[in-house]
Amino acid sequence: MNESRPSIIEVRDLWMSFGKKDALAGISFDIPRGVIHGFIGPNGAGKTTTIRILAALQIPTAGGAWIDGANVVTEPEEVRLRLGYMPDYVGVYEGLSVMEYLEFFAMAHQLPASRRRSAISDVVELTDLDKLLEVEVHVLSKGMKQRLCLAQTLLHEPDLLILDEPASGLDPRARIEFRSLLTELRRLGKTVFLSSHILSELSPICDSVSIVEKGHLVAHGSMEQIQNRIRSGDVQYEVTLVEANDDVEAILSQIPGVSRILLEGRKLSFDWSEDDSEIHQVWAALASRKVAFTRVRRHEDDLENLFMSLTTGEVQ
Amino acid sequence: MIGSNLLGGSSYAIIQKELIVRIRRTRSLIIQLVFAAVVGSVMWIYSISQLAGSRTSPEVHAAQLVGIYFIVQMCAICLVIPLLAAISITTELQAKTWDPLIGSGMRPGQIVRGKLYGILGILFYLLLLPAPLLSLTTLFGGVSVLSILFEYLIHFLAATLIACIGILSSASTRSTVRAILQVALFAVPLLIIAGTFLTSEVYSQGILLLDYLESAPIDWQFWAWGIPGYLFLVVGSLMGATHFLSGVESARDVPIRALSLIIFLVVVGLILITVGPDLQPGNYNSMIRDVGKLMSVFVGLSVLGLARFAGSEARVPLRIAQIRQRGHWTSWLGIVFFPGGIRNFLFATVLWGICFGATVGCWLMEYSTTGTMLPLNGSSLFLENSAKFIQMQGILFTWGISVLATAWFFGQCGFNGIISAVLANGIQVGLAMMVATARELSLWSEKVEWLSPPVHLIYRSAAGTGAEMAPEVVLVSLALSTLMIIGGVLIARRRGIPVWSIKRSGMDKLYLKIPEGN
Ligand SMILES: Nc1ncnc2c1ncn2[C@@H]1O[C@H](COP(=O)(O)OP(=O)(O)OP(=O)(O)O)[C@@H](O)[C@H]1O
Ligand SMILES: [Mg+2]
Repeated sequence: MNESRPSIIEVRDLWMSFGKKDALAGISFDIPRGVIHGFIGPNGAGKTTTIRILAALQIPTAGGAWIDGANVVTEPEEVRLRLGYMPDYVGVYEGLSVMEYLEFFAMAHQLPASRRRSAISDVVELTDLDKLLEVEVHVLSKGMKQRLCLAQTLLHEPDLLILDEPASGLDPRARIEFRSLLTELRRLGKTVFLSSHILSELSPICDSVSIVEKGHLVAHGSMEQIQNRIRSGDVQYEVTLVEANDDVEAILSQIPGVSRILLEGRKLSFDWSEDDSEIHQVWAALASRKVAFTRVRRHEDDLENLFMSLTTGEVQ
Repeated sequence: MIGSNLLGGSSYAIIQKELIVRIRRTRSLIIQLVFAAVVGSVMWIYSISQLAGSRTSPEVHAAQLVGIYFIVQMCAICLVIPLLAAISITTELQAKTWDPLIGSGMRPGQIVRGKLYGILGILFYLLLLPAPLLSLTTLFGGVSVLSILFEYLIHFLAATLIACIGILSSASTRSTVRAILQVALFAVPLLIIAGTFLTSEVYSQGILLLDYLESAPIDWQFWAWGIPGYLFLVVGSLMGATHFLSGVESARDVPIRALSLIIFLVVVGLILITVGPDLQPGNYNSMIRDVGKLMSVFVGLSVLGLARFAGSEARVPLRIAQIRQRGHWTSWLGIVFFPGGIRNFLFATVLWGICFGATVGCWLMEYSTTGTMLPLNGSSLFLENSAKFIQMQGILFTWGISVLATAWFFGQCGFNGIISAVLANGIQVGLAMMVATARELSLWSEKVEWLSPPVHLIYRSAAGTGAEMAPEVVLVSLALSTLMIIGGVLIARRRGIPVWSIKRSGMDKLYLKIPEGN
């Protein structure tokens, strides 16, 4: 491990053109060691392209990327040693048992025979596959295949794991289990770089995220930075009135910080730009005019909304 | 390349996986049982019918039985191996297991070799099952163990060849169906020709192949061509498969070019050794009839193939540019084989020149022995024929260069090697047809012929008489070559592609080391 280098992934001006189309149009970012980093974007944003370049499976049109200091273009062998890559689609060989599958990849990774057994038992313990060693891989459920694939990427003890949409197609329970597996890996000192379409799916475990769209990086930073960015924006409130009241609009427009008031029958919504601690002014104003309301919803203007506001949602 | 790491760790992983995956299936057991049953029953029926008539001696009968065994086995090989080979690469691609394989640090070459050994392993397994049947035939006597082993060896070599070609098809087409069709195109004729020969000439005589070879030894020329040819097909297919599986930006062209150079040297060497004695320029008139035909086929085919090199992608592959930039000493050694820029044209021209270097060498040899003696005979025939010979070689050589230059031009325009080669050769076919048509329509003028040097040569030599070759044809070819090269350079300039330097346009945007301050 190269501790002197703070970033385990360095990406500079990465371009990838397919004919006239730029799948990546100059992406740069650094990922520090020991974090779980989410790489988020809509369909066709360029996530898989970036990941394949990082895994030294594709050569960028321009720009550079380094894994722990190794250049993905000039030193692909080094790069492959340092990372474990799990593709978006998990393919397995029919007719092999879990044990044989792992043995095969241990040999492919050129682990010496003496280390193979212990490496395999380590990874199956970590991924809870120890009871399934004799099962044939193609009968495994999708979640188990996902685990097997993860186990395979861990065999050569890479410091970095790059996972392309690992949670797609998993049921809620499997997702939660997968997340705890990832946090366990972080605890073991590994860096995890994973992609997803869905920001909220990653928010519980990610330390940092990047959001890409159309080959551009539209946001990048730690989870706090991203969340601060949300807080700095307006918060939307939805209030259900006991009965329709046309005066409400006039009442609210008096209060500084309220904007975009919308009244549709008993449903009232407005944007709040002041600090959350000042919202009581609104409730007080309504109460003083005897406007009764039953339900208040502070729109969790969270990651989803950020995601929606940052991306145009055009499918490419 | 191939020699190193023949059974290296990663290849072995593939072999083991292939064997486990294929042999464990019930299907494979059924195939083997069916195979054994078919072999057994065919041998049994034959045996009964022959013994009933008891027309043959037991020894001959035993040999015939063994022959039948091997014929059935050959059919099995020609069915099973193409299938296994055709799916070898495509299954990995279709099951999306290719990326994890490459990601695990395995190189395409290792995978290709692993697949080959895996297929041969399965073949072994399949062939050994009915082998005990063979031991029964030894009861009759008359069949030596050595003959049987030799038979096995031949089958094994045939299977290896079919497997290599199947893997090449699998890697190049990336489609199982197309790969199977391609291998079948190769394997079925092989089966028919070899099967017909063996049944009619060998097994029906109550002997095995080894005995046949002993009774009727084959010309040494056959072996001189056959063994390198076989090795070429095997090694070339494996290298080709690796080539197709490596990205265009890799250094994949370098080993292919190195192999091509070796092949050219070997083939030209073989031509000199085997047909060299007939290749006497002084014997020009008879040469253009006999040896000339063989030579023209080789020359024509090699232009086709070389145009593929000349016209290949103008840009230097990224990996090559990077190897060069790092200034590794191998980058000096390999420079002749590096693709991109004018090197594509030069490399093809060098290979093309090897053929002519050899024929001119022949002439020099003949001149040094015969040439000095002839004036004593008072005959100027030798000198006359030599002049014609040199003229013919000059026309062919410059014509080839013009084809290569045309292909190079198309490469600079942005076409890939195969398309450029097809275009360049297509133009030649077009010119040849034009010249021939002009002659038929009596729009004939001597000068029209200059447009197509090969047609010119054919007409002049077919006349067989004193019809002279026109030296101007050489000038036309040279002019065309110059034109194409200047055009190519101009286009490369426009596209910002270096003609000579091993650089990659846009390379400044590709960081090779971490920028300062990171
Ligand atoms: N081999 C290719 N040839 C041509 N275009 C490609 C190729 N690979 C990717 N693309 C294009 O590049 C863009 C980015 O694709 P990529 O697969 O990286 O997106 P993604 O973010 O992974 O999308 P998804 O969420 O659907 O997996 C897409 O518009 C896609 O069409
Ligand atoms: Mg994707």
